[in-house]
Amino acid sequence: MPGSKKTVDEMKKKREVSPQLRESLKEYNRIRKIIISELGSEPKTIPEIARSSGLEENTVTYHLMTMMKYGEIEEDRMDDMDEYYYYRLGSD
Amino acid sequence: MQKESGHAEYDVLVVGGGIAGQEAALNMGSMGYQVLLVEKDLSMGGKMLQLSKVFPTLDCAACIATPKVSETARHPNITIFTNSEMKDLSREENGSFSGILVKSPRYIDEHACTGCQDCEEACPVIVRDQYQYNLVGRKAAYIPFSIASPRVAAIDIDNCILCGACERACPADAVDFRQEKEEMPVRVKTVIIATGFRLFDPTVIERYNYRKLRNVITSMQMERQLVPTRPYNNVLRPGDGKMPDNIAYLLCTGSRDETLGNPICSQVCCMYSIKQAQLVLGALPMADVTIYYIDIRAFGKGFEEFYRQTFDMGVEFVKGKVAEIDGEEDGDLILKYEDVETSTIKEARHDMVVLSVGILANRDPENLFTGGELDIDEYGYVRQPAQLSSPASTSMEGVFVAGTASAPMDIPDSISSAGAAAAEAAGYLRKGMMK
Repeated sequence: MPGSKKTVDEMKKKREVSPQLRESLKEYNRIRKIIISELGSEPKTIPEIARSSGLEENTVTYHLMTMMKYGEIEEDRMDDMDEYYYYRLGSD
Repeated sequence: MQKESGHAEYDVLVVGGGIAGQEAALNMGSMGYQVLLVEKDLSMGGKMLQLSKVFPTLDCAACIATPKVSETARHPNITIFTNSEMKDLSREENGSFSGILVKSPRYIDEHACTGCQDCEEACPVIVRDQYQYNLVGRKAAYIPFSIASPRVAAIDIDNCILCGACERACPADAVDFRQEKEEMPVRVKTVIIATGFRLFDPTVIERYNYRKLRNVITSMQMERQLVPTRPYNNVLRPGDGKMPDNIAYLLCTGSRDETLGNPICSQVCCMYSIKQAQLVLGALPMADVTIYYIDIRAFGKGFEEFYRQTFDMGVEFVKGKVAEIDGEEDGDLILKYEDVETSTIKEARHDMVVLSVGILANRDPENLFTGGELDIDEYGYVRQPAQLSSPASTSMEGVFVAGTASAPMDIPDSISSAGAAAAEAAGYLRKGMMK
């Protein structure tokens, strides 16, 4: 039956998870939540998300593109200057 | 495969499963020899599987590479070990080589995994995706990339938080954290080294500010932006997601540069940059592309015509070496360069810069054999003592070299070189090994 074995418990006896890894996962989730909340009302461009959230633009790019890879975010239209895409929350 | 005295026995060991290693293995396998192919990465295919299109034909790289990967994987005479390396290879009295094949755990039962990616969906960890050259993230439980071979998941244990979500999600019960490093004694009659190359890391050139200025990227990062499985939804600046419209290429980044210890030409950068310029114009028809070069080396079949075609498409070529890249507030970049045609120092503004990084030797072969019997040349490549008469021969009898393990070269030359290595290895076996 799938999921019946728990070999991860044996690995836990051999390895410890580093505090840095836990911290970076927490940070990813913090930024992910900010981006979800920013896009909750309307589609936005990366600079718009950065301006309103205070996050760095390159941080928004990395997280938003990763979220798009996993289906949490979708591409919307382009801005009037044909420079930046708008992004919206995924329909799933 | 036969087993004698505890050793798994093969006719030939091919070290490296890139395009050269596969070609050598396929040739040997098709001649009836038993081949052991050892690849250190999680997938076969090497760097060619990461490319968009190839020059000068603009054929899709994956469309050429994946059938070869499949043929290698299905060949009855080829045994493949991925995520594995050879150690302690040494010559025995009868001329054979014995060594230890070390297979690192991927914490997935390769035969049980169906590649469904349920583990990937369940995994809560995000780290930089090395197969997308850090432009996006990936999970700690992951399929390396969509056309990986084997298309089997792996657990990145160094970045795993041991939550067990992957194990609970796997419908095939394939996740196995009990796996350990396996060591298998192996004996082979001949060895083909096809360990490929490394890419130059441009952080070494501080004045280019790579990593500090986010819109300065490497040619491999641009290559990934041009493939169908690209990290972003279009060619975009990593700094702010802007669609660039004025892109610069800096040729010879890390090549032909005595100050960096690599005075030789990487053979491929001119042509892959010219190819990328054409592809960029396809993706962003309104963009301007400028290529800063020392010389354009378009020496192969159809290369000069390809270069001319790019010129006619409106790509600007500036003869000059860029000294420095500085950043502006809006993410644009200021290049300071010497225009060689007019002998003047100039500045130019671009909104994205691609560093056409060169090829460096992969130093792995240095430690492949115990006793340091394998000669390495002054640039770190496997030495070819008889480059003209027997290009695949090395300083060791019965050990041959294929592809970029011997020198920088393009894909067709790597494949030809691998064919030559297989022919020389087969001749060596037919002659009855060592004289």
